[in-house]
Amino acid sequence: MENTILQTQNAKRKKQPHILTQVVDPNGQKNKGWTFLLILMLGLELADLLVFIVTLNHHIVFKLYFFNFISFLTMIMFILIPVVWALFAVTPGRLDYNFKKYLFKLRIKRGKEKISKYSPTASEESVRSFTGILNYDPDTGLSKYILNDPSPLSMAKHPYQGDMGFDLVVFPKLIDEPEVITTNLWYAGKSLPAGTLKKTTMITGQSFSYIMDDVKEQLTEPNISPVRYSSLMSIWDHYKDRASTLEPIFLIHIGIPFHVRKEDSLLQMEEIRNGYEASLNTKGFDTVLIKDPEDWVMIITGMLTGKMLFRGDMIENN
Amino acid sequence: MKIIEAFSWKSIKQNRKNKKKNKKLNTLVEEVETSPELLKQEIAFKACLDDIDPLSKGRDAGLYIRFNVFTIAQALLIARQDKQNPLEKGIDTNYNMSVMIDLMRIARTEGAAVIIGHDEVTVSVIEEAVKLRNTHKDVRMVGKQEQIGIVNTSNSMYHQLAERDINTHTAVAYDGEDHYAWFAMPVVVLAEDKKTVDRVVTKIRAALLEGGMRCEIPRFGQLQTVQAALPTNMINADFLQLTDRYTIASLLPLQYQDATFPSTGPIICVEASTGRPIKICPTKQNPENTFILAPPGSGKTTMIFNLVSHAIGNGDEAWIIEPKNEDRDGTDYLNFVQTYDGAAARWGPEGINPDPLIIYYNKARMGTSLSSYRKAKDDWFDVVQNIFRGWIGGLNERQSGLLTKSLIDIYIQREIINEEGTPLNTEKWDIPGALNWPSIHELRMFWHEQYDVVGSIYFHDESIKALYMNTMNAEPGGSLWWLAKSKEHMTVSDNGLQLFDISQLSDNMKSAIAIQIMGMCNSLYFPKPNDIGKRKRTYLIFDEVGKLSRTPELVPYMERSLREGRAPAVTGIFATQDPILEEKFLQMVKANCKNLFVLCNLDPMNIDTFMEAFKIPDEYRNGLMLKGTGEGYYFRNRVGTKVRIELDQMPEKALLESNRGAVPEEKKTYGFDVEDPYRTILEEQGFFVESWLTSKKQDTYPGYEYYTPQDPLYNGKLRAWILKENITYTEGQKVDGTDKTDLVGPEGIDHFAPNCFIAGWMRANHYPNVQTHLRDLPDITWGDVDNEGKLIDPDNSGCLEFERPGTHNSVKDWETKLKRAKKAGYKHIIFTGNSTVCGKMSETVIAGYVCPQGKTNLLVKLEKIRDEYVTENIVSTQELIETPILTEA
Repeated sequence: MENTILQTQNAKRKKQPHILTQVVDPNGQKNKGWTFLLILMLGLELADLLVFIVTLNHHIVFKLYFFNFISFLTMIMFILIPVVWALFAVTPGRLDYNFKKYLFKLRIKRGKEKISKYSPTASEESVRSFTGILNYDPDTGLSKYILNDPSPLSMAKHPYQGDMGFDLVVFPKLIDEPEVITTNLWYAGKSLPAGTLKKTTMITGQSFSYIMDDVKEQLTEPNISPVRYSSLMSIWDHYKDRASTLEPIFLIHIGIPFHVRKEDSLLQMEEIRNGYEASLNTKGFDTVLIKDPEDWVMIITGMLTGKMLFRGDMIENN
Repeated sequence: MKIIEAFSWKSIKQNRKNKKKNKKLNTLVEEVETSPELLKQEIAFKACLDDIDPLSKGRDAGLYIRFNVFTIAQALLIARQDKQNPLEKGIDTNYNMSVMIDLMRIARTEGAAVIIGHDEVTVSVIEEAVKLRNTHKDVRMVGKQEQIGIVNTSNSMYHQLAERDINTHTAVAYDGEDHYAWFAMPVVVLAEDKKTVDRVVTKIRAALLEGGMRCEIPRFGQLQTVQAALPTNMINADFLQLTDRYTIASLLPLQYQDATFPSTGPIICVEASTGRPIKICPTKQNPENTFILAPPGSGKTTMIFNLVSHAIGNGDEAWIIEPKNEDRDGTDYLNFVQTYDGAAARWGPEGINPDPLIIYYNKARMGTSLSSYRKAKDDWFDVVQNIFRGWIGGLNERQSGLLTKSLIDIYIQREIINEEGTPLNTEKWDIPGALNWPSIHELRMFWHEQYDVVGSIYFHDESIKALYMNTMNAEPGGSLWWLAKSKEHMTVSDNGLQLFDISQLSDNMKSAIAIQIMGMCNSLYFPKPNDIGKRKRTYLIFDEVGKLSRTPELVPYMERSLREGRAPAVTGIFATQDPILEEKFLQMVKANCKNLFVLCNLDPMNIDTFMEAFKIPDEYRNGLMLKGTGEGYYFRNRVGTKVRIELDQMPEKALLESNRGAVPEEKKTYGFDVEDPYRTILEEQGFFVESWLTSKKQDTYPGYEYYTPQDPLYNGKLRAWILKENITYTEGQKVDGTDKTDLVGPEGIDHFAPNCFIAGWMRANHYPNVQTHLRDLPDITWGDVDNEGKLIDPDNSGCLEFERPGTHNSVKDWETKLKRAKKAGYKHIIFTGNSTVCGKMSETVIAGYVCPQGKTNLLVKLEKIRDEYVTENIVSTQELIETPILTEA
């Protein structure tokens, strides 16, 4: 009996989402940056006040304090500091917003956010970093990427340290209950070694798999009977606008843990292919390794313009 | 010595020189490697978008990003604890796992491109333990702070819950139930306008909240989020959070829950959410047998005929066994068959009743080998036996034997088979009237006159008497006389649309005739003979299969279409309004039908029967009970997709707007058009030339044959197209050695085409009531006529006879034609033709009426007539242009 209860609890426990989140204090949120700025602001105000008093005492004898540049400046600063603080850091939220905003503007200015690749001023670094592709090996499919996060904003050391990876197009063939699929994928994922990056992407867009292609083709056939012609024209007229269909494409990128030698990366790639990929295949997901770098051009251009120039089955048929 | 040389001035100088050289070389290599030209050849450059432009001004600053000028995008981070609102977790404790399926459905159906990313970085168990320990430390520290009064005690409950959470997390990892990994889930929505992006993002957020998840739109971090969704790019470490791997797996966007539809084949219905046509694509491996289950009035017949319409368009064949017809009250499929040039057999006193004793044979499908004819004959003997069984309610062994014997005897007598059983005159088997096939009445007479007579071994045979007496309703005046007297062949449509209507029959006759139909359907399964090409696919459709399955003789035939349809390219479509079928047959349907359509409109009284019959998952219960016509679910592999039945214009008109028997009044559509004056000639004569077209000439005009006859009005040849169905093709040569020309009615193409062309010219030039005739009247006539056909204004009338070398050009013929024209009262009488014919005509009495074809003679004459009469009432275009427009000023 107890065992059954424990098993039920365990099953329930496993199905709960577990995220290691920050321990939150609802009544006393602490934002170290904001607190620092608040203390800094108050400190500056105090200092400003002291300077003002000191300079005021010194000049009051000559009755020229109004024209004293330093005291005048301190008066201005006394007002200005809280105003600036109120504008930019009155709440932790405002501080965060402004901080990000100015960093964003800085990135735009440095050409990291706004890229025009045919512009003479476009930096090589920006162009490269957009896709992260450094070079592509068409023989093995093992390719080099800029994967380490160069952002100075990263508070933690990036958990993925590798720079080599390979990519797969996935074709889910079996339709099953969500729980079954989840469990299958979970089991398959167990075989991945620590420090592996797995990026799964689903893309939808206007597909080139034009649902009326066969009708269009038949309409151009010679010597078709008038009835058939009329029937096809009727179908064409009714359904031609339905042509833009949204068909998903599934991709998986596996980033291999860091290795100094390419040969070691290749070995690891083979291990992952024989483990994780093979496991996926047995669970109803067909996979095809992408080797042609031109496929990536089509995939990325297609996915970010909404026009799917690439179809998974193109590779599968190859 | 060597050391001394190495330190010599000369060698130092050389080394310095080499170093300089190398440095220069390295600089050059570096310059080349980093040159923009080289970068442009790299994959990174090619894959990078041309323009990436974040919105940096106004209220939307940092919230959207624009790609290649036209696409606007917004990126979200899903399942993430919002830093601005840290009290809410990224995922609730009891989040709904189906949220991912909802998300993917939104991505597919909302008309915007969506990228769903799913980033996972695996961690080692040691690293996991460290992370958990650190979190424990944090929690414990807060507890201690609380104890010593540093932290407000009002937060103790939050800390307790946080402690419980971390304890559970640790237990999950410690027990090995699951482990942690770094996880981020970026989603990007792309569309051409911001409105669409906002709409889709709102839907995604709503679905997430419903499923117990939250998301964040990272302001000023849009590009980084988009890059995180790209398969090849980095993930910002800030986006990652530690999550257990089961949760990560449950959020994988690999759960494609909708059935995949083929992109070729006939359309059966459309997906309700996207309007995308659902096609069925039978292959050699999978015939795609289909079962349609629908309560009355939910659109079952409409769905079937929609499929038939598209199958015909697809070049396939469709045979429909229909035990009911609603005619004009509902779906009028007889009108449908007429529109699609199909053939209908409608048994009944006023129907088209194929004779059951005519062995059905279709050369196109069964070939012409003797063995095929023999097999058809042998099979048909069984069919006739079963027809009689169905008709008279059973045959004993002797009756059965006598029926077979009498069939053999009568077929031998009629020279259909010989005494060896070998088929005779097989080339005439499927030609109506070519052979003297017996009717049922003649068979009965045969029994009476040949068997039940003195001297016959069957004289006074009780079985013969029983056969004769039991079929007494086939006597003249009897209720089945219409069937007994019939000697009609089964009409076969070239288009492949075949309809069998047994709605007019009594129940026992329904069974009998259904067996006859199945006998015909058996021809579909004939082994493919060597002398025919690729077989067309045939959709064998059984409407109201519930009714049909109650006839036990029919069940094996229906089962055959399920079991044996693969090789002979037969797809069985079964439709019924109630799922109460014979158990064995139901099992057969379940095992062999790949597609199941269940239409809505069910109610609490019958839903359980439907769901039970096909083990439909309970989640579709409410959907199936929705009211309405033409909606339902398509089940494939037990996964349902909501569908809608849509008819395109042609089947809709044919099926629902029945105008049976009347000539369609609407303008025909050809996929091209001619100018208005010539449209009547196109529609009535099926003729047009290139110069009449309103659009650019196509390479081919399906259904039309191309000819180049002589142009009668101008020099050169006409580029003419004539409707194929009007043409009688000829072969061989005439007596004078020239090739025979194809015919339209009685006229050759070289006569018909110039006539139509001249008539077209006359119509364009406003000649009144221009008509072309094929028989008994002049080739072309013009002039208004009254109801009795008499000319109203003879002064403005005329006729034209186009003569060509060959037959019908004797003097007598011409005289007759002239007399006929004069009698009709035409003012202008023209005999035209080429110079040879006109030369001959000029020597006869019609000389005064001859006008040779061509620009200088016939055209001038016709223009003269036009100018004389026609232009009186017509304001020329030039006049219209020249007339000043009166204004108020």
